[in-house]
Amino acid sequence: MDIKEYIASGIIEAYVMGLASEEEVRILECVQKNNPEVRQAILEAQSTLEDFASQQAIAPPAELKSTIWAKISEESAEKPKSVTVPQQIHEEEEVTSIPLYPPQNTVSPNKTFNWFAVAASILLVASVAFNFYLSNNQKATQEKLASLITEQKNNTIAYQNLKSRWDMANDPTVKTVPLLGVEKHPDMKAMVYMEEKSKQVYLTLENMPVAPENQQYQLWAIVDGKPVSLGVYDQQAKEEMQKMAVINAAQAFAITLEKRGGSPTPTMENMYVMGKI
Amino acid sequence: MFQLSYNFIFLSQAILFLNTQVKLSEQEIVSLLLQQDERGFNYLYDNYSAAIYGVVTRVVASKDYADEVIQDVFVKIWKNIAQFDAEKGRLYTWMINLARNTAIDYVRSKGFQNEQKNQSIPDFVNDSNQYSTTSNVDHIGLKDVLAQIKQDWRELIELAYFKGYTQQEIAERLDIPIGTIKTRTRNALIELKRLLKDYR
Repeated sequence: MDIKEYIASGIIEAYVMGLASEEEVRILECVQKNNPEVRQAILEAQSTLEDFASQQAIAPPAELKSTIWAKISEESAEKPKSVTVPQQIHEEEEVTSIPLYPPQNTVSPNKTFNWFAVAASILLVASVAFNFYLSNNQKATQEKLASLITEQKNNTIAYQNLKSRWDMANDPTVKTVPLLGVEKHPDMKAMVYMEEKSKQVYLTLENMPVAPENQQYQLWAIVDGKPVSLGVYDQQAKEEMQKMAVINAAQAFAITLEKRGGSPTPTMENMYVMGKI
Repeated sequence: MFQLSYNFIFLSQAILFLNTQVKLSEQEIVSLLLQQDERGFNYLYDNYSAAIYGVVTRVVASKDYADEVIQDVFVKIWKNIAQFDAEKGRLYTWMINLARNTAIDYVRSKGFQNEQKNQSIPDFVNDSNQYSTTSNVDHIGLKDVLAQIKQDWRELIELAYFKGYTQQEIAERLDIPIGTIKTRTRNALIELKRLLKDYR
């Protein structure tokens, strides 16, 4: 994982604000040990919140200081000051108590305990490292999954587009009219589909270059020698088969390149393809 | 080694004795507290109680509760100073978080919530006139920095930092996708940092 990306993800801010999950905290604390950049970023974020606390400071009532000190003295008096004494007792107990799994050889229980402690520490370090590895792994898997999902979506779109073409081409009530390139653009091709009953016109571009950003292809029907606009084709849409206008009695279709949104009359020198019914 | 740290403690105590206004390093404060020296408490209280009281007051939203919680906070600092780990951040940060968490736990406790039902508490937290603002840095006559931050970010700081909500709870409360919370938190903190520069 890129460390810059990691820092920019907001994980450090979430951590200092107390928003990070246990898992995220574990990873971050592990990373900061070996990465001065992350460590610095954490310290900076903490220092912002320190400044924030200083700025929002409110003086407490004056009498509280002695109240609190009295409370602290009281609590300290209840318990013995030294913490080393109970610890010693505890250690002695450890030695005299019967171990759950009696050692087979002459090694003293205390020494065995030390070995367990060492082993446990090694296991802990290994487990932290493994966790880090797993979380990295998980991220890689998630990225792969995301790219597969995108691919799947693209495949579905491609399939839908093919299917709508196929359905149209095989529908006996739909008339297909190929529009072929004019002299200047012999390779270009588009297809018009006309539902005979409803007179609804559909259009697909089979081989047309992507129009410049401020321009769009416009479909025209030629009715009694006059061009009638059937609308513009949206090349940014996912659907390749697009619904155009309804036209009753057309003799031919043509496509011109017009300004975005279409023109009231076709620009004849920008005519790319045409086809007669 | 022992001799060295003993000398160090002796020295810092001598300095404290001569001049109570002296500025101690966090390490010096920690070693005084570990020694259970009252002067450690005095120094801590004189220099940090206002910041801690400010944080606590924002969380519990009532002066009476804040007076109660700040006592717990100082007792906890005193008792748990051995758990402070300088590897994870500064003492100041540790104390702020301890104060924040103690106050949030207090608000979530059953007793507090029952009491809340029985009485209405004036919303005085936003009324900055009621309190004088003091700290080691001088901010006299300056406005609340939170009031200057845009609402989206302010809400996030309130919910996360002062109410202790989880990302999930915030996403539900603010009706935003959970994935945007980290970025928004980052932006909020960057803005906070920028605004706080003017207060330095």
